[in-house]
Amino acid sequence: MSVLAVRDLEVKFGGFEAVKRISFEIPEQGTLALVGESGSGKSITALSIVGLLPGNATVGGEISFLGRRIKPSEVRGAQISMVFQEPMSSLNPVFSVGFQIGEVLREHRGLSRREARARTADLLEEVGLARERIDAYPFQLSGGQQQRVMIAMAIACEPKLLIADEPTSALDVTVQRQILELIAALQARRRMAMLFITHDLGLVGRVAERVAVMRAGEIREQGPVAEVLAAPRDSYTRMLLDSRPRGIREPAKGDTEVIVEARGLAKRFDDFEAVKGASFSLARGRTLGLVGESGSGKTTLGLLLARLQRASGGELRFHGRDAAALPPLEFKRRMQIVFQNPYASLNPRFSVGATLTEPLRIHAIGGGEAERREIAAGLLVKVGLTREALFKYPHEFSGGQRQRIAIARALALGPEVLICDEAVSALDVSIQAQLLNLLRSLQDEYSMSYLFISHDLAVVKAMADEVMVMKDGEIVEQGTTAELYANPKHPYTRRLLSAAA
Amino acid sequence: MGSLAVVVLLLAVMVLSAAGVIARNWSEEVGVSYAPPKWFASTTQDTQTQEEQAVRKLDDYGIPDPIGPELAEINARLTGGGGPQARASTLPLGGDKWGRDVLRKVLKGTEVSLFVGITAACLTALLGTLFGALAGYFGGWVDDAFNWIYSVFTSIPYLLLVLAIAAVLGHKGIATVILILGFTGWTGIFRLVRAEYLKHKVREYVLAADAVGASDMRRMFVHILPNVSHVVLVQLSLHVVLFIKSEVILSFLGFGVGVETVSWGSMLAEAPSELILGMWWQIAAATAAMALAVTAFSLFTDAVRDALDPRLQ
Amino acid sequence: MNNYFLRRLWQAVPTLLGVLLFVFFLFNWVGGDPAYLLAGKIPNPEMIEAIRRSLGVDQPYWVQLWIFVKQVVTADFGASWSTNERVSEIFATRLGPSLTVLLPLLFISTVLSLAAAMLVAYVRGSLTDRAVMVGCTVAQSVSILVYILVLQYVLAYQLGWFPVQGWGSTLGENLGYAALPVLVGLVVSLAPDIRLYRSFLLEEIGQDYVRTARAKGLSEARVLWLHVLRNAAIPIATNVLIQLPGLLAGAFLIERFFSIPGIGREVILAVERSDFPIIKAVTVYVAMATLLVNLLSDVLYKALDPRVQLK
Repeated sequence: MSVLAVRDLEVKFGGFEAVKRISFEIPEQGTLALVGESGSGKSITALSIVGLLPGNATVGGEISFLGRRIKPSEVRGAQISMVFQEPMSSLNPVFSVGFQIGEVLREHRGLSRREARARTADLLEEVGLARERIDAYPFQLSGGQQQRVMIAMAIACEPKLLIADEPTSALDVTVQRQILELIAALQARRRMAMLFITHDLGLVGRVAERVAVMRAGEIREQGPVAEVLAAPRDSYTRMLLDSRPRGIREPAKGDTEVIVEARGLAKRFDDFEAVKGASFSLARGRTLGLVGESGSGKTTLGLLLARLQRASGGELRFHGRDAAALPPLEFKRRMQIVFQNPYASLNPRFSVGATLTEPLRIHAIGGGEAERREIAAGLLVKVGLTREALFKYPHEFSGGQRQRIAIARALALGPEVLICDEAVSALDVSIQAQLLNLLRSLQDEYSMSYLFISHDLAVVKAMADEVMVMKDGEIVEQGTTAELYANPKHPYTRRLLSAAA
Repeated sequence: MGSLAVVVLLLAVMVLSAAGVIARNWSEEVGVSYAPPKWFASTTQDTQTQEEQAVRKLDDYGIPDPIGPELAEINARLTGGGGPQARASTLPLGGDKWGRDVLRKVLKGTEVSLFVGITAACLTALLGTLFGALAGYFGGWVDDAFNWIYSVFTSIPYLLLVLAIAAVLGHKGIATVILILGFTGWTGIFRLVRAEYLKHKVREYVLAADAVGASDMRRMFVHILPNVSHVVLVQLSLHVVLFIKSEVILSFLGFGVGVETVSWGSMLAEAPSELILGMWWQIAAATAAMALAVTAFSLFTDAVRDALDPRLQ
Repeated sequence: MNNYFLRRLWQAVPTLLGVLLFVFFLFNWVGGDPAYLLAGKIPNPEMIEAIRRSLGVDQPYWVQLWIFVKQVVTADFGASWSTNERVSEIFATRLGPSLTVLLPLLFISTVLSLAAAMLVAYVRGSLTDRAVMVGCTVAQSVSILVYILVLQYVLAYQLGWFPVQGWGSTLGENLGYAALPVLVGLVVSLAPDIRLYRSFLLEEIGQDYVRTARAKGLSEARVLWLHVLRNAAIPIATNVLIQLPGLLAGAFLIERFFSIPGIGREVILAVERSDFPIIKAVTVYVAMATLLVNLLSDVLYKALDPRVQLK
């Protein structure tokens, strides 16, 4: 018998169909991975099982738990529990973690305060936290620890089904692996079934036996993991599999001139050292990858290179000359940057045309407004958009399209160096692939050098000629891509690579 | 959308009154003292005293003037028989102690109160936005300086601050009131605009503007300001309400508009002595007008705030 | 903790100096020679001359400033220009009546508006919610003056339920006199407070941790009364505290009309009579009280929100 049987589930918000009659089953103690990109409806499906959809949703279809139709409000928390993506905001900031875990026990199992506290300490140990942390507040814990607390809350009443909605997406790569291992161990020990929701096809193999691929509210394909991953029948599934960054960049031939040289670059904020003496060089037409987890200082280093942050120490040389001695406008013309967040990097009140012509106007390129608009239109075409975009506003575009506009803006001045600060990290996998291709072709056409910053090892492997690994403000290892990925020398590098494997 | 209609209507009244199209002769004493409203008088049993009311003039204690009729006769003879026009015994919304038409006073008062409220709000929004932008964007000692001024101003409760300044400046009329309100009310807007600038200064679109070479001024006023304008607009509307209410209090205490003009506050100032005598129509008219205006502006503010909420975009 | 207190007090000094400078600038520079202001109000020319001398209007400004600073430090602002009563005396005797009205008002107002806000938040989006909100908006659009005048006229003068105005000598008597003023104060402060507290509550209801609490299977009531309220308590409590200094000064209209011999009434009278020493003293004292209250509210914030580290 299956733990959960969903038949013809339909969710509508007003006239918009978020989930269009899907059906799937989760066998007892089994794991189903629900995979999809943003907007596919996977989270909404999960929320509808536990009845947590917003008030304006209409739900149709049948959901059976252990063979019976259920009322979600009766089973949630106890028999079906849920773990969410963002542990920091999902925990109540003003109550201790012990209180929040104990609350579930007292509510559903009727335990007294003392009994609940004892049980809570046991649970903490089971999820890999120290018992003494029972009175800690969420903000005192790291992201990984917070997620362990969420998991403890979810398993406290021994649910038959655990729904995990992107439980590791907000965590660093090394932590991700630990959490996944924890969940797997708990599942085995407590004989739970699991619905695992993710956008990352790479995780599916490690976590589930069955997989269902969702797109735009429909299930495009489902079946045993090994089958679906090896021989997908649906075109969308195929495309998803193909979009994963694969392979390694072709090693570059010969040497080119060094454009940028950094020696001992450092940045400190009050008493916190974000970057501690970074040295590297960038040659024409080459890509230097910069890998690190959150808080490693890689974004700060990118900003230092672009001189958007003033360095506290070290020097930066541009074509052999001190970058600080160059007139600022001159420097900005040669060095540009594309940021991570497509929703924040374009001024929402500027039309696309205004955003693109601004740099041209400031640097006195083009003889007049009309000519500048022509140049802008050309840039748009170059990045794969049409000239009609000139008159539109950012909110009319998708995330991927906005990144294209951001790249067009960066190209406007014809820079020699382009810093890509997690430029594709916020995009769906299929869009990512398109943009990486765009970046590659632009690099070839304009012989630009890239500093490619990312936390995603697979992407960096496919894009970079040389790679630097950063941790706590320091560059712990650097070398050619082939060398680094094949024979990592620093223990941290090795940890990173094994976690992502 | 109803609130928008009312706001537009009130603004129309303000403009028409300022242009002299309506309520021009608000200070003319066209009615008898304390003439009751037309519709009210006809429903009371007091009809038989209407003629007597036409002749009687009440003083502050409700005592009729003993030589009233004789004075009226003398006046008539002095002014060559034309005499004071026959005074109306009732007026549309009633009359005040001197027989001035309450309806006209309310319309004129609308003009004055709205003008003061809106002008002062614009002044305060200008100051608050400018200071907030400079403090939030530049930080450092600029921020420290503005924060110092801010903390000085906010450590004194608003009404006390306004009254203290009014006490020193004395009774000087509309311009003074506007300046007082404008120069004391900027603190709320300052705090909000400063917080917005702190937030936006590190946003990627501003960094991107820096990367392409935009100057500080350009980033502050061409890039960030349009993204902050929704906050300012809502605050502007809120301050119109605040200043209308403050002007009423100031005028009531005699520190607002002078005697040569009328506002809702000066109308309310006449209320205490009127109420004792049971004459309620002036306070009712002023309160109704004020309630209508403030409610309309408040609902309008809420609608504007919801419409411009970036989270809903 | 003691370190924190001392440091904050020290940080408040520049602000206090700023207030002093501002008050000085306002009353000695802009206000200048008050003789002409007082001429109509104090018929005694020798007294006006004495005032001018004590103010030092013919002296250079730094001398005047020094006089003022001395006054603040010794808490002796001289005597009222109109009644010749010592300002410190005035304060001592007027504080009691003000508090007799303000403290009950603050307490009842907070309890009622919080209860109302919670009820409205529970039924958010419903007709009741919208009706209450519109009602609050309309209620806020009526000037406090109207509330005072009308309630005094109807409830006291016409119906005789309350004394029209006045003050007694015992606490019991005074609570009776304070009843209508407190009622008026309630009517004025309920509407804005309900709206504000409702917005705090709704802000919290939209947070992720509420979704988690529901996912844990907790009842809606528990989610609201425990999880949400505990978080909303932070801005609400600090808001209540911040209201204190404002109440002190804002009650002056109420005190004036109900003839309550409190500080607020003194301020109104002083403003009407251009009695600078009183206004100056009140401004300085209230500013100090505000700074103190800000400090206390920071400490309260820390007590309520574990994320806050006092530095």
